[in-house]
Amino acid sequence: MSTDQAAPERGVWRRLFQAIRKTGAYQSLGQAGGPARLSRVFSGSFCRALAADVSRSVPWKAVFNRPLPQTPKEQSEIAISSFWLHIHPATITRRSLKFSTTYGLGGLCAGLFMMLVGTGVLLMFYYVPATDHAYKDMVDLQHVVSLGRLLRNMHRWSAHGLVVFVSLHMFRVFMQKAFKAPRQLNWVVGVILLVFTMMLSFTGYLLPWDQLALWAVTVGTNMAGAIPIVGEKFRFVLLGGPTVDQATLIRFYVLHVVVLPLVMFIFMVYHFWRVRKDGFSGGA
Amino acid sequence: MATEDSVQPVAETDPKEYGLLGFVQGRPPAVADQEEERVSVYPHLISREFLAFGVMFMTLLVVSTLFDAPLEELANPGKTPNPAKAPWYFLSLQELLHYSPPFIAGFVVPSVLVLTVCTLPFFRGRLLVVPTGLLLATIIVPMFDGLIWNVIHSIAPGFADAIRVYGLPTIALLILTAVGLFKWALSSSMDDPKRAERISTRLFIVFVLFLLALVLIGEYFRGPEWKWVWPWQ
Ligand code: HEM
Repeated sequence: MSTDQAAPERGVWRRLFQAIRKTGAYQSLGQAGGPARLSRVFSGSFCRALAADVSRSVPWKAVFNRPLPQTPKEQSEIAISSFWLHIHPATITRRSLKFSTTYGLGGLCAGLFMMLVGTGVLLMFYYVPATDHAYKDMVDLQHVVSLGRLLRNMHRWSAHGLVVFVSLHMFRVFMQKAFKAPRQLNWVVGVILLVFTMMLSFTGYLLPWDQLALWAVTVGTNMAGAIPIVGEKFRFVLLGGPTVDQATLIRFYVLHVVVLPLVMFIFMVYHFWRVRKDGFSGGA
Repeated sequence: MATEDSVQPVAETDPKEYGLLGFVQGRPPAVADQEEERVSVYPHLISREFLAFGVMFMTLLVVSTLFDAPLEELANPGKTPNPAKAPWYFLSLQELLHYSPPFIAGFVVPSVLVLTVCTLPFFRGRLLVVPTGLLLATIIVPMFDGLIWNVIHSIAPGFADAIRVYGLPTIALLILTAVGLFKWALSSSMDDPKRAERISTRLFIVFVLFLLALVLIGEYFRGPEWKWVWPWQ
């Protein structure tokens, strides 16, 4: 076989090639007519084989501490005993698993939220919420800090992505009428999550302290001033004064990095718990 | 009679609570959708979640390498940009601010939208056209606030000035719309539940499209003094 000759005689590479050829995932590709048949990659057989391989690997065993479950008993055991898995039910219908049931949207929202927490904490190592410092920190992130620009971009695009994907997730829930009884409350929890997503995005908008930030927040908070009777007071408390300045920056910063993410996380966990309690509309 | 008693569910006659004592061999207890094929979440769902997260991460990495987040010059309170735009997800409200007073665009519209979306799942069957119709009306009606005010102003200027402040044309129209939607929902034209659901779905889609249009107009078609400009101008 030509691939065998191309491989180095000995050493890590050869061992790696051999190991890969022994995996179920590789063999399932072979059965499916080779890697060219991309459709097979997304079909069950490849995923199953890949999962089997991954679950045999040392790091996986270290985390989950169990082989693949075979019997209903093992299926329930694994969901109960693993911290990572216990937000899931033990079994799920094939219908729920189909891509067009959820388009993966709720899960992507959760994924983007995790990305935002990860990149956000890293940004906090550099960023100082002071009007004479914040902008300089942004410029430094762009030009001085290793991978700083990438970090900032990832945080920014994840944030926009979250607003988009939360809206799309809501749209799919509406189109499938998955908000009907008994899931009404979870829809309301979802609306709260949408509002928090926007508030998080909005408070984050101010932090770079550039012209875009200052004036977008000025426009946005002016709208809050339109609330009858308490509007002006509310705006004053939000800004920490009559205009957007240092007092506003520290308020938005604390809201953005502590208060809003914490509350949103609590609502998210409740949202997931309710999906299980109400029963997923695709059959949980 | 005795047989009917004996089939009563245990939970209703027995006040005890139950905890998980242990595992037994055999199939899971039968439930309504038992006929559907079920698979183990681990690995079937978990592997898909990992795959989706991986794809998302790679996409983000690529997008973040290709496109930089905007950073303009240092904030300067003395230099107001024209136009000063809110973040894109608030641009639909800012666009409505162009047609109606701040009380409407900044308070009434967002409040009605959020409240209506929250209560939407509690409207059942044919009544679902009420919240979906109201959502659509809430972003269309404010656009005519100024127009109606002009009409009223030509008839009774003093009265018009008073209601301009409070956006009364919009509020009155919204209340009328809500009442009309209720009457429509209960009318015989909605007797077919399938048809009622189809109509409410369409109303919601049109609402989403309108919202999207307002955002796009605000982002790409508004220049100095919020005047209309083409994106290529
Ligand atoms: C950060 C925001 C959100 C996250 C992370 C999230 C996450 C999820 C996840 C993982 C599911 C499981 C099914 C799926 O993936 O679609 C789900 C279901 C659900 N979500 Fe969300 N969601 C969010 C926002 C929303 C919003 C804005 C709404 C609606 C207003 C909503 C309403 C629902 C409902 C009703 C279900 C149950 C659907 C069913 O049983 O088919 N969620 N959510």
